Order: sequence, then structure tokens, then C-alpha cells
Amino acid sequence: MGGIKKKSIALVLMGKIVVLTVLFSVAFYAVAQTPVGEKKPKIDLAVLKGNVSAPDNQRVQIFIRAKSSKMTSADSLGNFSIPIRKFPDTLTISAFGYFTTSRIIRKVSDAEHPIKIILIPDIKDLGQIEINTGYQKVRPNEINGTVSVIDEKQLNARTGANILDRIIGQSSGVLLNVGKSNGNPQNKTGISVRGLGTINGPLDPLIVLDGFIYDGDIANINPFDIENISILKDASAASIWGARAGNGVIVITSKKGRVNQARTITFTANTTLRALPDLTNVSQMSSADYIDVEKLLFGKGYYDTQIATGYQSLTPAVELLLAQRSGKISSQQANLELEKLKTVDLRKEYLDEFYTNALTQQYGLNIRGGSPVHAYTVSGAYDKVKEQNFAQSNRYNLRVTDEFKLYERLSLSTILYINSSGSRSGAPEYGLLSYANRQVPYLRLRNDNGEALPWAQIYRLSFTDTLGKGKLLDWNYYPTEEYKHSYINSDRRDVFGSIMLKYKILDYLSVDLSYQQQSQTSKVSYVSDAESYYARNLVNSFSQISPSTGTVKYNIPRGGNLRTTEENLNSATGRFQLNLNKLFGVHSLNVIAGTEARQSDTQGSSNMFYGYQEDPLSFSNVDYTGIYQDLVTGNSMQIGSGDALSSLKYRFISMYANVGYTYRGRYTFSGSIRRDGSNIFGANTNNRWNPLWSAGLGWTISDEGFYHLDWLPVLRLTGTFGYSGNVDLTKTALPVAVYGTNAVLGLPFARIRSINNPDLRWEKLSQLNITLNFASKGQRVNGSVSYFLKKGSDLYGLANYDYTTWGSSGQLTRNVANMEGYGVDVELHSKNLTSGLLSWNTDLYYNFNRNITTKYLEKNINALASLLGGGNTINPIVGKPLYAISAYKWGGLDASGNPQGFVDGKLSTDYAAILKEANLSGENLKYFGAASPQHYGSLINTLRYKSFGISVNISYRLGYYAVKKTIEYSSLLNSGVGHADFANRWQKPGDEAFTTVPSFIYPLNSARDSFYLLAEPNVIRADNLRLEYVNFSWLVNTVKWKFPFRNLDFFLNASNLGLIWKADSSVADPDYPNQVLATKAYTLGLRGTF
Amino acid sequence: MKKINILVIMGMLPIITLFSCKKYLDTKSDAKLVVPGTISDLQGIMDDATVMNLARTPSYGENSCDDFFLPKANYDAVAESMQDVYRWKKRPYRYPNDWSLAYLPVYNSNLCLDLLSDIARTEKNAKDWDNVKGSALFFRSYYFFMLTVNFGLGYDPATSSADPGIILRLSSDFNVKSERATVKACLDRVISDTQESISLLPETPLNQFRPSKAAAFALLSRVCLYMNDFQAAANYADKCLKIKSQLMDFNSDSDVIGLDQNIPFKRFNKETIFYTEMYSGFGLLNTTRAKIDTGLYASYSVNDLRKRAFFRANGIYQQFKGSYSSSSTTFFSGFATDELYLIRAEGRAWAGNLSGAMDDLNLVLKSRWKNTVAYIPVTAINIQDALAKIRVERRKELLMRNIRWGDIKRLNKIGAGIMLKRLVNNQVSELLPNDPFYALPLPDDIVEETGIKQN
Repeated sequence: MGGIKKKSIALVLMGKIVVLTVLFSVAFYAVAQTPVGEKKPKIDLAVLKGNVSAPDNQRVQIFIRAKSSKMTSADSLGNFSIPIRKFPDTLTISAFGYFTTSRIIRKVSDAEHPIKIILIPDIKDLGQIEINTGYQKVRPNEINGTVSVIDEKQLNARTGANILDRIIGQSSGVLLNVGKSNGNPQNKTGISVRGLGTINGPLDPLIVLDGFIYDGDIANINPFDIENISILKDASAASIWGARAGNGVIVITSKKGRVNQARTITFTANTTLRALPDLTNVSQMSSADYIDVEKLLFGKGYYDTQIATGYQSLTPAVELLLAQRSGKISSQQANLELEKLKTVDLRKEYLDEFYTNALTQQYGLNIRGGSPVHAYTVSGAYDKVKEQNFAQSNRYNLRVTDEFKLYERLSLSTILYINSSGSRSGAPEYGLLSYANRQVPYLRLRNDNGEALPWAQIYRLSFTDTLGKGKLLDWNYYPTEEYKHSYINSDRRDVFGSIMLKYKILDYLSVDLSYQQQSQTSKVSYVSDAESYYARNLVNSFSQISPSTGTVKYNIPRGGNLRTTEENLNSATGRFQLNLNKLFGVHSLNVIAGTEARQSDTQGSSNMFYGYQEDPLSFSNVDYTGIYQDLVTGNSMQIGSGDALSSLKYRFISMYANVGYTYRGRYTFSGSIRRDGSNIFGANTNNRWNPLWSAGLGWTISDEGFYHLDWLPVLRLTGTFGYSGNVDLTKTALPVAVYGTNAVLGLPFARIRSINNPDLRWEKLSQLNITLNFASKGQRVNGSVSYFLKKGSDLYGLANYDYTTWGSSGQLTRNVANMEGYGVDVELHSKNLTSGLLSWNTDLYYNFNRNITTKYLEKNINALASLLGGGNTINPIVGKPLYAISAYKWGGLDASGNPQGFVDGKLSTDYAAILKEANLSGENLKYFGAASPQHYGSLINTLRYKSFGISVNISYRLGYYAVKKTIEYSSLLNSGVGHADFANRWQKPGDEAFTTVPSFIYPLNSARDSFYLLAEPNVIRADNLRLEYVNFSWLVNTVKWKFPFRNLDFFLNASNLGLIWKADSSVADPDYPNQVLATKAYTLGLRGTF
Repeated sequence: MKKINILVIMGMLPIITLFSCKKYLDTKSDAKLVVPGTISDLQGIMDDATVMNLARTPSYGENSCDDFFLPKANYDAVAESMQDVYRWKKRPYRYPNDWSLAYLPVYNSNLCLDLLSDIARTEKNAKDWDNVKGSALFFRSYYFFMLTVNFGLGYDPATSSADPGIILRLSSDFNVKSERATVKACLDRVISDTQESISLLPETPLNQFRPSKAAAFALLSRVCLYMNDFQAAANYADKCLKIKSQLMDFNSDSDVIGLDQNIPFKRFNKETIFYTEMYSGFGLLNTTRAKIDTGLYASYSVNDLRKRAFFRANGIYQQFKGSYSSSSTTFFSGFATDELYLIRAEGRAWAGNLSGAMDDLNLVLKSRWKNTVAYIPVTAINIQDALAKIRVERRKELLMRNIRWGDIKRLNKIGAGIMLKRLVNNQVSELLPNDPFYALPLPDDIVEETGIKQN
């Protein structure tokens, strides 16, 4: 008995938030206090004896139940005996981390022979299959909500320094949104759990680290420290985590030592290499075409306005043409030079100058262990990254966790997590440099001798060369040098600590008092040293040259420019929680109730320093109120003060309760309720409180007496329904003004930030979830199928309004729409082959997800017309997905190369009429479909032979459309952005048979342009299959090689391997149109344990 | 027993927390935010120059004027929407626009007036209270008037009580339905509110973004002139000039940076009574794009310093550079003393006071005349002659000040017969005197949302 007791104490100390372990120990105490035989049953028909063991002789707590008698547990050797009071009876054997198995005892003879049972480990790692909701740890059969757990092994299958990147494709229900935005600044992660639940509200899932909301930057967390991640997907997530959890919760749990664990030291080291990017994927107009267009425009006087200013920069070709026109060079010379320019390709220049092989190095060390009364972890990690564009960053992590058993009933656990990271920006990436505010493809960065060439970014070189008569600072801009002198440094420090006291009042009742504090300091410096163009331009622009004496007065002192921003985030959470776990015969009750107060305080400041010099450190004061004339344009201007202060303080108070009741281990009822209050500014007190609730039912069908499917020994059905709300903190019933200072006068002013809208209501969201969990005999196949239905009403959306009433915005946030989202998540894990040396496992994740608008309360001109475009913003149209695409019906090019649409069903080139019909009836539009994948997921195959393993992840995204980029003549003219499709344009009669690209005409017809951009030929099916990664591993036989390690494995990972298949061949990657595609990354690493 | 005690204490904790909740949640979430309620908050709203003054006055009319033209190369290079505005062709347009820009200060004014009714005017706060109320009334009137000039028909005493004007929004409650008032109702409201503001405003403001008595007189003077009520216009101009009368001498003034400079005048110079800027919505007026009417440019004498200060060559044409905004991208559109002298001159001439009229005109012109060359004062032989000379000089002096459109409308109402013509690709577009197009098209989304009648 003593041994068992010790073990239960060990269990108490095991966890950190510990609720789960409490449940077990409480359950165990309950059993221990009423040992078998103490209360003799009246009629024992038989006493069944047996032995249960786990593979590898793992010691676990094993519970044995018979329908006709009380639950008992096996002793330390796995032996048990249980009275049987009726026949037939079903024996159920369960253990944490293992599948529950059952045996049917039909007659006395069945009970006479001792039975031997070997437990089968549950889906994931042994002992790890506890679901951490952040507030408590529960076993899968005690929770009715749908949770995906991603263990360390799966997290390690992907490489990369950001923990969130590692969960993509490793579970169901999680989608990385590519290129989508709803313009909401609260959407930072780009990840969505089970699609959308709101139109205009926050979209990010809530991130929880070790039991508390994590406010810091997710990049602070080192993946090496993470033991597992639970993704809470359904309404029970929201009702337990409150109003911010409507988009799902990602619960991150870090690695911790265990009591009585021998000291374990693990280390990891890996290096990732990425080659140069392939810029030929970027569609760039050819230099020859570009120059021909410039020639044509020059001839039409297009640049004359610019030329007339005398100072506005002109592209090299236009400069040559101008020199020719004004007789400075001959036409022969001009042509020669132009032909030379036509051979230059800026992409090559970029590649030679600004790109290098990227290198990432990651190292980590983790020491864990524990005595009977203490468990600890100490870990440290160091990451170093050099990006393809020479940007650099590094990160240090240190983490210490402790758990002490102070007294018999009192335990204390602490976590301290310290991170420090820094980065420096790198060279400009493709497309960031401009010449005369245009994206010119024929530019060179260096001349034939390798000397850096100046670019006329804003002003003509000939103008700046002569303006100062040699008295000013050099006014040339050298793109090859600028990033070395003008860069961004950022530093971040984050301390996340928590402390929890747990006191066991009664055997079945405990109380937790916990406190967490996080403090993150980030400092960003925008440095432009004295040699940078940025600083020189600033100094020169503010200079005054005396016309009489020619002396220069510098209103901004010579030297560099430094802007710093600093942000201090402090958040604290205090929590008081009661935990009750009681077994009454066949009833088991599990209750938590608590209150929580939380404050998040952000203080920010920024400063600007002029005349900045790093060594010796100095700066000069300037006059912010003085009005100066721009040396070039003469416009009045003031020296910008970069000073700003901000102070944000968000407070939340929450009360929550969660009840779980299990009857006969088979039927589970759960319910939770939560109320959050926050200090929403401008809201009335009543509106500050938001109630949420959820309820769930679970039924382990396979435990039923009537259940006889031998091939499917585990079958469990669960369902939850819950209700939540959402309020946007920026929307209030009272007009809210923000204070500022007028730069001209230095006087304070108040600006109305949001109009008073007393009619605004909370968004209401409900979610229904039904999940079926199953496992076949011998765990050959196991998995789950979930169906969910989300309904949202009174959702916020931007609606047109009579802006005569305000004028500050064209649209107002109102309760505009109802939506419905439904979908299916499937996870299948199968062991296809397990023969001695060879094994083959498959994991399949499949998601189907559809969001549609069910009701739109605002009048639309025409619904379909608002779906024209990229499908990257949410447009609520009744019956259509939130992200969707429509396009103008296409009538081909006419004989003069004009694109044709339809008006009244007839071919037309009257683009105003086409647009009008699109807006009025939408008859001339074609609806394509969703712009985000309807079906997505991944397939992971893992093969192992002896000590070698290979794992391949293929992801798929299906059932959606995208709009591809093409040549847009108006942006070619106005901002100089070209596209390779220019070469395919209609040029002569007959071309209309081969191309859809309209002819180039001048003067522009922008309506014609925008018609073509949004017409059918440019909508593509975006469906694709992608090879996410291939992972080779080799587990070294440390005994054979006489290594001093317990485990040692090497791995080689190849990721970003590109598309295997795409539905449309006209784009390089439908998910990343017109972008520099990520290059393949190769990681070599090793992991070892002492 | 002990356990029960602990239970009781533990049970108390959440209850105690609950009681302190309300206070805990009363903390401000953003220290910069405020629900405006004090006099200084309201003054802060009036002092938000970005919203109340800058790049804000409606410019559709100025874009439709005859002071500038686009040569073919410029015409071809601009967007079709601009081409249509240039040729007075109706074209749908939406937010943002003159309408949205001008109604924002109207909202701010209404909000201040609404909130002011909850703040008692006491002896201690009287001066500040009055300034907020006067400012709100003035700003609202100023923008109502500028909108009326753009979107209402010209003032015709016979029809103005039926001609549709603009929407007179008098409350910050956005649930009040927007309806068009008549031109007469609009102008009457502007006059009565501005008159009310006079007694509330200080003679000279803290800065030129703020309204003042002088600014209110100037507004009334401009409104009355627009209504061809010359007598009242002159009276108000006179009252304004009694408070502020300085003119810059272009030869030597400290507020003149340099006549040949790209930016010749300082911002907030001594002529500026009240500072606002024009919205650059349709973009036709862009200094390098809009070429000054060649006849207009030729009418400046070589010794007229305005020829140097206002213009610079752009190819074979001239571009404008003489704004009091000290910027090459935005134009001053507020009140300055030169305008008031010219209004008084017009009023005096109309009343037959020719010498008084010519004194005002010559005072302005002499300050613009090269001082090394003798200035020959302008004289008039009769009222018609005086009015004609004053109106020619008015156009030359107040170029690109958002005044010409209103002038064309009012002068055509008294028979000036000003016909606007554009020549584009050998096609002539014309705008006849008193054409209904002088009430410019309203934004289409406003027509859709409110159901008001499109012009």
C-alpha cells in the first residue's frame, strides 16, 4: 500500500497546473480508502484475478471496472482482483495514456482463469495523451470538446524557428491563410482554426503558454522547449477561455521534469541552408518592351510635366530621350545607349548584389530530473539566422521550471522563461527599389568596373549635382550601399514567469492559487548614419543657401538620423481555482470553478535624434516649430519630431466554472460557463460583461454491453454546443476622441476616432460540434471524424452609410450580417505495416470547410459585383463564401485588340456600360467560387527500416480560385509597374485568336484596363498539391558504437519543396502569385540524450 | 473544522473580487482616449486643424473653372474621371470627395454644439464657452456656404426658395435623416449662424486656424457678395477691415520669401484672416498640370509683381505658384485682406462711391506694383466701368483661391454672360451661363444612401 501511495504522491507532483493528476490521485485515494474487500459485497459470484501490463514494462496506474462492482486498481506489479456479481459482465481496463480495453465475462468459467492483458498505447506518445486546456488536464474520454494534440515528434518533423509554423499540416482544423486579410490589425498570426467565425472581428486564435494567455511575440518561444500543443477547436474552448477564444485556442505546454525521474540531458543542434531564390519566377516586363513604352510615351509628351519641374527624377531611358530632344546627344548615340539598356535585367542585378545563401543554426540543451519531492527542468537554447537578404537575427532562451512538494498537502510550482532576441534588417528584397518612383527593369546597380551606380530616386542627378554648387552634402543615392547605412535594429526581451500554490483541502477537493507575470521590452532603432542617403537627403532638403554669400545654413545638423521606439508590455494574471474530483461508485464528478483577473499594460515611446553619431555617441537639438523652405520644391516644412507616447491598459475580470460528470465511465456530461468583463472604453458598464456557455455530451459506445464489434474496440461519440459573443474593443456607443498635438501650432487637439453608434450590438456566435473517435483492433487504424456548424449573427461589417452625417470614413462598422460555417475534420492514423524491422505508418488529415453569408442586412448595389477582384477581402454576399471570386464574362478580344464583355447579353466594349450592368443586375458576371481552400489537409507517410526512418508530408489545398496578376496598363504608366504578359499583348489583327491580353493604347482607358483585370481569363483554379517536407532520420545504435548517449539520432530535413501538382499551369504558385517563391531549405541536425 | 474555515475563506475570495470589479474595470484602456465632455475637449475638437482647416474646402467648382486649361499632352495623361470633370461631363463618383471632406467639420461643429448644451456657461468658463460655440457656428456656416456654392444653383432671389441647396445637418445624431434644403434656407442659415457667432468670437484669434470676429465678418461679406447684395457685402467687409487691414507690399514685405521663388509667400502671412486649404480631390489643379489661361496671364503688366510671384514657366505655358499656403501641392482658400478690399471696392462702386471704390482697388494694386516704376492709379468713369475694372482685378488677385466658381455663378445671375469653353482634340465643350450644371453633380453614393435628388 505504501508503494502505491508514494506513486500517487509522485503523480500529484507530476503536472504543473496539475488538475489532471489531482483527479487521478483523488480517484486513487478514494479507491485506497475503500479497498477491495473492506466492504464485502453481498453476493460475489466469482472473484476474477488477472494481470495487466504495459509494453516496455512502463509503470502506470491501471483501473479495472466491472459493471457489477466498484472500480479497483492494479497493484504495482499489475495484479488485480475484482468481484463479479452478475453474468455476463464486462470488464473495462483503463489507464492513462493507453486505450481502454474491455473483456466480456460470460460465465463463471471465464472468471476462473486469471486473465492477462497487455495495454495498447494510445495514439500518441506514451503517457503524453493528456489534453491540456490550460485550466486543467483531462483524459480524452473525459472531454467532450474537440482537441487536436500535436506532440513533440510531430513538432520536430518541421523545422523553423517559429513554433506556430510547425503546427501547419500536422493536425486537422488549422489553416494557414495565404494572402487573406480582413484589414483587421488584430489578425497577426495568419492562422485560422476551423475557418471564420466573424467578418470584421478579431481572427487570431488565442495563444496560451503553460496555462496563461501569452501576450508576447510568438517568435520568442523556442520550439525546442515545447512538449506539445493542444488545439481547442470547438465552443468549449471559447467558454473556458472567454471572449477572446472564439477563433480557437492554441495551448502550448513546455517540457518539464518529473518527480523521481533520473536526470536526463537532451541536446539538439541543427543547421538549415537555403539557396538563392529563383527570381525568374517573378513576372517582369522585358527591358526592351519597357523602353519601347517609355519611348512612345515620351513622344506623346507624357513626361513633359515632370520634365518641366526641372528636378523630378526621370528614368535613364527618358533622360536619354530628353538629351536627344534637346540636342545634347545625337539620335544615333541615344539609340545605342537605349539598346544597351535593353540587355540589362534587374533581377540578375538583385541576385548578384542583394542575395546570399541563408543559414540558420539552432542549438538547445535541456536538463530534467526529479527527486521524490522536487522536479526540475533547466533548458537553454541559442538560434542564429542569416537570411537570404543578409538580414540577421539571433535568439537566446533560458527556462527553469520547478515543482516542490512543500508539505503533504501543499505543493508549489514555478516557471521562469527568459528570452532575448535581436535582429538587423538586410538588403532590399526584389521590387523594393525604385527609380523615379517607378519599377524599372533595365537598371544596373554597378557599372562594368564594379563601382556602385547612383540612382535618381526622387531628384534628377543633373539637378542635385548643380543645386548646391558643391556646398551641399553628396546628394546621390546608391542602392548598393544604402542598406548598409540605413537599417533597422530590433531587440526584444521577454520574461514570462508563473507561480502556483496548490493546496489539497480534502482528498477530493483542492484549491489553486496562481499568478503569472509577463514583461516584454522591445526596442526598435531605425538607424540612418551620416553616410546614408536618407540622412544626407534630409540635411540637404532643410538647408538654406544664402543667395548673396553662397554660405549654407544647415537647419538639420549634419550627421545621421536615429529614431527609436520602445515598447514595454507588462501583463499579469491572478487566478483562484477550486478543483473537485469525486467518485461515487459509478459516478464521477469533476468540477473546476474560479475567478481570474488580468491586466495587460503597454507603455510605448518613440524619439527622434538628428545629427546622430554612434561613435562618439552624440546628437544635436533641432527646432521643431520653425518653418523652413524645402531647398528643392520651396514648400514649407517642419522638422519632424519623432516623439510619441502611448499607454494602453486592458483589464479583464473573469469568472468561470466547468463541470464534468461521468456515469459508469461511459456517459459524460460537461458544461461550462464563463463571464468576462473588460474595460472597453466608452462602453456602458452593462456592456462590459460578456457571458459565454457551452454544454457537451459524450458516449463511449464501445463500453456498452451491447457493443460487440471486435474489429472496432474503441468507439466514442461526443457533441458540444456553445454560445459566445464578440465585441470589437474599438466600437463604442459614445464618441471617443484621441488627443494629439498639432505640429504647426504645438497645441493639443482632440480628434473623434469613432462616431457614436448606440445601435451597435454584440456579435453572437454559436458552435455545434460532433465528433466520433474510433480505433480498430490492435490500433491498426484510429482516428476521429468531426462535424461542426458555426452560426454567427449580428456580425460586424463595414456598411455604406450616409456620410453626410460624419464624413470621416466611407463606411461604418455595423451589425450587418449573419453567417454560417460548417465543415468536417478528419484524422486517420494507420499502421500499414509493422513487421519486425520494417514499419510503415500513415497519418491523414482532411478538412472540409465552408463559410457562407446567410443574411446581409445592408442593401447592396449588386452582390456579385463586390466579389470582383482578388478575393482577398471578406465580402458578405448572401449564399456565398466570405472569401469568393466573380469575374466579368469574357467575350474575347475584338479585331482591334479591345477586350469585350457583355451588355444585355451582347458583346460590348463600352466598359462604363459593362460596369453599370455588373453593378445593377450582375448578368454579365460569372461566379467562380471560394477564394480560400474548401478542402485541405495533409498526408504524412512514415517508413522505418531498422534504425532508419523517412517521413514525407504532402499537403493539399483544393476547391478554390485565385485571380492572377497580369499587365495593367494604368499601373504601367502611373507607377511604372510592368508585367511579362505585356509581351503577349494583342499587336496586330489576328492576334485575338491567340491571346487574351488587350492591346496597349494611349491615352489610357483605365475602365478597359480594370475590366480586363477582373475578367474570366485571369481567374484560375488555385488547387494544388505541395510537397511540404521530407525527413530522413537515423537512430544511432549507441550501444554498438559505444557512444555515451542513451539516444542519438541524426536527421536531414528538406522543406519548401514546391508544388507537385497545380490545377493551372500559368502561374508559378497560385498561393503566392507574383512573389519571390521561398527556396528549398535543407536542415541537418542531431538530437541526443544522456 | 479547520478545513471548513479554509473553505469559507476561499469562498469569500471570489465574492470580494466581484465587489471590486466595477472599479477595476473603470480604468481607461488607452490613455490618449477621452469621451469628450469638457470645454477643453471641445476646444480640442475645434483645434483639430487637419479636420477643420487643412486640404478641406470643396474644389469641384474650382476644378471646373476657366482660369486654367490642360494642353493635349496633359489631358491625355490624366485619368478619364479627370477628363470628364474637365469637360463638365457628368460622371459617377463616390467617397471620398468634397462632400465627405466638408461634412466632417460640420459633424465636429454639431458635436460641440450638442455637447455644449450639457455644460453650464459660468462666469469662469464664459470666454472659453463662447469661443467654442462661436467657432462651431462659424465653421459649420463656412462649410455649408462652400458646399452651397458647389452643389446648389446660383442665388436667384426669384427661385432660391425652391432651388435645391445642400443638406443642412444641425445635429451630430446620425440617425437624423438627410434632406436637401433650398438654396435660400442654406444661405439664410449661414448668415444667421455667422451673425450669432460674431458676438461670441474674439476680435483676433490665437492663431489663424481659429475663427474670429474678423473671419465671421469676412464670411458674411463673401456670402452677401455671392447673393449680389453689394451693400451688405461692403458693410461686412468694412467691419472686417476695421479689425484687420494689413496688406503685403510685394516689394519688401517680410512675409514675402522671394518673388522668383517657387514658393513666394510665407504661410500665415499678415494678409491671412482665417486659414483653410482647398481639397485636391479631382486633381486637375495640380500646379504642374494646370496651365494658366494665356489671356489671363497676358493681362498682368510686366511691372505687376504678381506676374513674377504667381507664375512660373512650364514649357510654353505658365503654372501657378502664388498660393498663401506656402506649398506647391495645396492651395490657400481662406480669407485674406486683399479679398475684403476688393469686396468693399465692388460694393462702393455699386453704390456709386467711385472714388472710395478706386481707393480700395488702388491700395491693393499698388502694394503689388514694382516700386521702382511709378504706379498710375486706376480710375473709373462710371459705375459700370468701375465694376468692370474691379472684377477684372478681382480675378487676377484671387486666382486659385476657390472664389472664381462662385463669382461666375453670381455674375451670370446679373447678366455677365460668362461662357466657359474647353477645346479638347478639336472638340469644343461649353458651359452656358446659368446652366443647371452650375449645381455640380452630387456623389452617387450619397444619392443612393439618402435618396436625395441628384443635380
